[in-house]
Amino acid sequence: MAKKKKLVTQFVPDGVPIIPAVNGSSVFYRASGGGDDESSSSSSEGPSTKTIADVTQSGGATTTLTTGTISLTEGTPYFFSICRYNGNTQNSANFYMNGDTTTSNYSYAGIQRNSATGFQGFEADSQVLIRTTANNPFTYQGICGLQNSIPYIVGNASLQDSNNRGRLVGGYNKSESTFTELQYTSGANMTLNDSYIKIWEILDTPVVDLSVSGSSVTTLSSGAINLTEGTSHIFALGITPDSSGGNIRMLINGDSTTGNYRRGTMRSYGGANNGYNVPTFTPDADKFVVAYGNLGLLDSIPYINITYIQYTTNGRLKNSAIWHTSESSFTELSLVSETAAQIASGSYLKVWEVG
Amino acid sequence: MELLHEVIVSGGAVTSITTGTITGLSEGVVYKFEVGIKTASTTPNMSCDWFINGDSVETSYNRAYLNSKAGTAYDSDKTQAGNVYQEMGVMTGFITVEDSYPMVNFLANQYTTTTPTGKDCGALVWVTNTNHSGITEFEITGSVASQIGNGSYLRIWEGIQSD
Repeated sequence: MAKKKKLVTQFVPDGVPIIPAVNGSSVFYRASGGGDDESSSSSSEGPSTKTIADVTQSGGATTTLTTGTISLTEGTPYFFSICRYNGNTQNSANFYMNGDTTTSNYSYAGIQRNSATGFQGFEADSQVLIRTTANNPFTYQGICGLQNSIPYIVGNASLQDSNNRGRLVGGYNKSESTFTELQYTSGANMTLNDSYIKIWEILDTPVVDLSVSGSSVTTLSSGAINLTEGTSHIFALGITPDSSGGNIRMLINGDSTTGNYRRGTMRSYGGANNGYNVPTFTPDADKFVVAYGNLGLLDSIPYINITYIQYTTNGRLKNSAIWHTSESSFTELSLVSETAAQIASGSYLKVWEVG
Repeated sequence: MELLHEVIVSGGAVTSITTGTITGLSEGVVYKFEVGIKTASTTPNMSCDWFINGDSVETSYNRAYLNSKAGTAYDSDKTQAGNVYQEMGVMTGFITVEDSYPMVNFLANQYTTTTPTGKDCGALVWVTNTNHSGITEFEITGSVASQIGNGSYLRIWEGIQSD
């Protein structure tokens, strides 16, 4: 792991121009730290993390890259980054949890941009799969963890190849009840040196830290918060529904009025790829939803950007972008059941200020 | 996460925002970024391009792009940079340098008043520049001069990793 570097050597207060704008004189540049007044850069420090896995291939090409034994805690979101250098012509990488290679144990959903095959909506019962072409890397980042005693992984994959591919990828293993290993495999010895798997847990106290234990609840609300314009936040949530399933909405400032939201959605289910409703999660009974993204306030309009998987009979993977057109502040973030008390024990909602 | 670069537009709209010269983005390290664009009121539906190392040559880029625009599952191939914003937008994602390729994968969240309501609100974009080794600059340039408004910003953090 490379050491952190200060990329600049001069600290200036907010609003003091030290570089010219590309067009005009109105761009202001602020860099954190590096100057005499270290206290001035304290606001730039974001969440600290704990490394759970950090494995980089060396010593020659391999077939399998694995974290080795890890132990992920139920209900905690972990951020991961994976890179694979491919040593062959078009060649797939399959992701496995706990070394389980049984295809039918997995549900997987992918949204793909591939100039050769076009939109690929959904694949059922497969390993989490990313195909790459010769001698080009892919990167895959997102969250993984354990929800409702089912291990999952979901993220955004960027592929460098001749077909300009990109993917939103998610999957889970239906037959495991712990998360003790993450690995990917390729064709024989076709994963090259410098390929890696990294997993981190965010340690800092979230600005929103909600969880459900005991009886199911109808609403999981942050209560009063005040996200300031221009600050950056990431969030993660896990929803374990009760035995009746049902829709669970994600609301800004407690507003459930559909017409006050603008939303664009891409999804891997049913062929449809857009929708304009209040953001709604629809897990099957006793399954789960996990999501991550960022949220904030821009030009006094609150927004949320969500990537999530839903464990349902068919499996779904979605990305939603939400703007609330009738609010000018971001004072509450909440999950609300459409019918009473369907957010079960083990559900959580966390938000961290990035810095 | 440690904030490495922050650019904020203040005092009037501009055409481009750039990090200026950055050095030392290490191979294999994950960096997080966030870009917020507020277009000036005179030009709704402006698009913006994302340039790496100041390279505006379309053939230098590979890009894959999905959006939620009604009736469009994905855009056609475009070997160019971003072009994802409407009236306002927030993009967040990760930057890495792998095998010397600058690679950016991110989620884009756009706000527009275009009817029908909600049109073009989401996009997934992947960008790789095949003509550069390493990252020395990021730049966002609007399709119309002087329309990136006050409050627009570009931030880069060293990524989610332990000390």
